[in-house]
Amino acid sequence: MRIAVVRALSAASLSMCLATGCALLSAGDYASRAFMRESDPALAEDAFPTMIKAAEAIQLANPGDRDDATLVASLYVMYANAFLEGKAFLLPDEAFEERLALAGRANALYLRAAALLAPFIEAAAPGALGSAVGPDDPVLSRLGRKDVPTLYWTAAAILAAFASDPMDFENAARVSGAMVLFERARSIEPDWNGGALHELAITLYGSLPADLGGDRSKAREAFELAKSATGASSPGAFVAYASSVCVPEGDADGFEQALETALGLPDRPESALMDAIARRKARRLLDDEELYFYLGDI
Amino acid sequence: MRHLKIVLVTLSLVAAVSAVSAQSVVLQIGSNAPVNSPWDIGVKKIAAEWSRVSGGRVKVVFPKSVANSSMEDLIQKLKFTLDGAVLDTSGLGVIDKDVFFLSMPSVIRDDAEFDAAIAAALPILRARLGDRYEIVAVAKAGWIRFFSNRPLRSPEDLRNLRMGVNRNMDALTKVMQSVGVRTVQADSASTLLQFNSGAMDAMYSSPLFVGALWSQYRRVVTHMTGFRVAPFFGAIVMNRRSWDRVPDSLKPALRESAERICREIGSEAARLEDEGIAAMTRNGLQVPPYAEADAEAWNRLFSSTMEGLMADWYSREFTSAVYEAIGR
Repeated sequence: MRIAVVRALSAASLSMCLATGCALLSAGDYASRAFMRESDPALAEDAFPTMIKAAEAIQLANPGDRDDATLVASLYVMYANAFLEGKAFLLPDEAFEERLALAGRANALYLRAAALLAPFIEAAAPGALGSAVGPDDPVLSRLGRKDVPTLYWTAAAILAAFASDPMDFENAARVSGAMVLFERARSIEPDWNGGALHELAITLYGSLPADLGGDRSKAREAFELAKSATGASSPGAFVAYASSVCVPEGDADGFEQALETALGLPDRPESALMDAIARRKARRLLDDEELYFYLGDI
Repeated sequence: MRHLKIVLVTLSLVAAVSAVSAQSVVLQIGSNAPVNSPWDIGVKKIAAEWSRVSGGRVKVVFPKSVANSSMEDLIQKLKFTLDGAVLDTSGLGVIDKDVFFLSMPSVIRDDAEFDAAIAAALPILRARLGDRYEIVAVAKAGWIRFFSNRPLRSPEDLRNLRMGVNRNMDALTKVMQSVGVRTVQADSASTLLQFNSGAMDAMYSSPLFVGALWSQYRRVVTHMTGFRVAPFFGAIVMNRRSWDRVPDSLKPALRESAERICREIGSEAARLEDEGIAAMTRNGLQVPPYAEADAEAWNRLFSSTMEGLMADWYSREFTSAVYEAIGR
C-alpha cells in the first residue's frame, strides 16, 4: 500500500488541469511534477504540507469540482502513506509511542481523503460505495474512464484507513465497496498511470484477508502486469511483491531477489521520489530479513 | 604488590558484574493478532515497556514470519523456536484443554465472573504447565455471540440450525449437538463461503471480528444474539527455557507491566465491542430484544446440558475451582 499510491500523483494533477485549465492549476501541475522528480525524500517531505495547503485553497474556491477534490485527497493519501506511515515503518519497535502517533495521523488523513471523495462517487454512481453493490452491478457501468483517478484515490484512502485501523467499524463497512471501485477502475483502464493500479493490486490482493478479496494468485498476476506496464522498471512493484507475496508464502529467495532487483534498477528521473522511497523500504526489509523468515538466531 | 592484586581482583569483579548487568535477553514472541488491532498494539506496548523497565536488558522482537500462522503452528513453534507467543482461547485450550471449560456456553456470564474464574484457574494452570511454560498475563478480549441468518431469540431457535464449529473444540460440538444444533466443521477461512453456499446458518464469534469484516458478512448474516455465549480471551505465554534466561530480579516488573497493559487491552476491547455492535446495527445487523428471562432460558439450557457431559472432558480440580470462585 505504502509506495503504490504515490505514483498516481501526476495523473491526479493532470486531470485537475484538464478540468479547469487555469494558470494556478498549471502551476500546481508543474509543482507536482517537481515533487515526483525530487530524489531526496526528506526535502519532499518538508515541502509536501505546503503543497497540500495550496491545493486545499484551490479546492475551497471550487468545492463542487471533483478534480480539485481528487487532487487534494491524493495529496492527503500520499503524504500519509509515504511520509507518516513510511517513517513509522522505519522506526524500531522500541519507538512504539512514536509509531502509534504517526499511524494515527496517517489514519486521520486517509479518512479525510475518503470523506472528500465519497460524495463524488455517490453522485456519479449512487450506492456504488455500499457493500450491497457487487462487481457486476449495473450502477458501476456509469463509471467511465474520466472517473478512474477518483475511483483509485477513494479506494486507496478507504483501504489504507482500514489497514491502519481495522477496528474503525464505520470505515470497515466500506471495504468491500472500495474493492469493487478499485476493480472497476482496473477493468476500465488497467494500465492507468504507468501501472499504478497493478502495483496497488499486488499489495491489496496479497495482504487482505480472503473474506475481503485477498488472493495471492491475483497478487502474483498483478505483479506480472505491473512489470509489463512499466518495463519492469518500478522498484515499488518489486517491493510490494516481496512484502505482500514472498513474506506470507515464506519465500526467502524470492524476497531477496525482488528487493535486490528493486535496489539495482536504473534511476527514473520522472519518478525519482517514489523510487527513492521504495528503495529505502527495500533496504530496511533486507536488513530485517531474519524477522520475516527465520527464527532462533537473532 | 599485594595492593595491586587487590585492585586487579576488584577490577575483574567489577568487570564481571558489569558484563552480567549489560547482558541483554532477546525474546522472540510470535503473534498472529491483526496488525493495528488492540491486541497487536497491546503486545507492542508490552515490548516497549519491558525494554523500558529493564533498562534495555530485555528486548522483544515479533518475527513477521509467524504473523500468518495458525494457533497450532504458533504452539509448535513455541515448543521449539519461539520464546513466547500470544495465544487466544483456542490456542490456550490446545496446551491445556481445561481452558476450554471457560469458553463453554454459560459457564462464565459476566466480567466479574471472568475475573474471579481466571484468578482461580491461573494458579492451577501455572502449577501444571510450569515446567514447560510461563503464563505471563491474561487479557480479556470481549464476548462471543451467536451470529446467524435468521432471528435467534430463544434456545428453541437453535434446533436444527446449522452451526459452524471449530474442529478443535470437540466438547463444544457435543454440547451443541445435544441441544439439537446441526454442527458444521468450519474455520475462519471457510465460514463466509459456507454461509454463501447455504451450508451454514449460524456461527459463534467475536463482534470485533465480525465488525471488521462486516462489509462482507452483512451479505450473509442478519442477526446477533443479545445472549453472550462465552468470554473471549488471550494470554502471553513464554516457554520455560526462555523465561529462565530473564534475570529473576526483573521478572516482577515485567509481569506487573504486562498485567497492567493486559487490563488496558481488556478495557479497550470492551469499548470497541460496543462500538462494533453499534456500527453493525447502523449498517443492518438486527439484535432481537434480550430480557432477563431470555438470559435465564439460555443459561438453563446450557447449564443442564453441561452438567451431564462435563466430567468426561474437564478435570474436577479445574471445574470445582472455577465454580467455587464464581459462587455456583
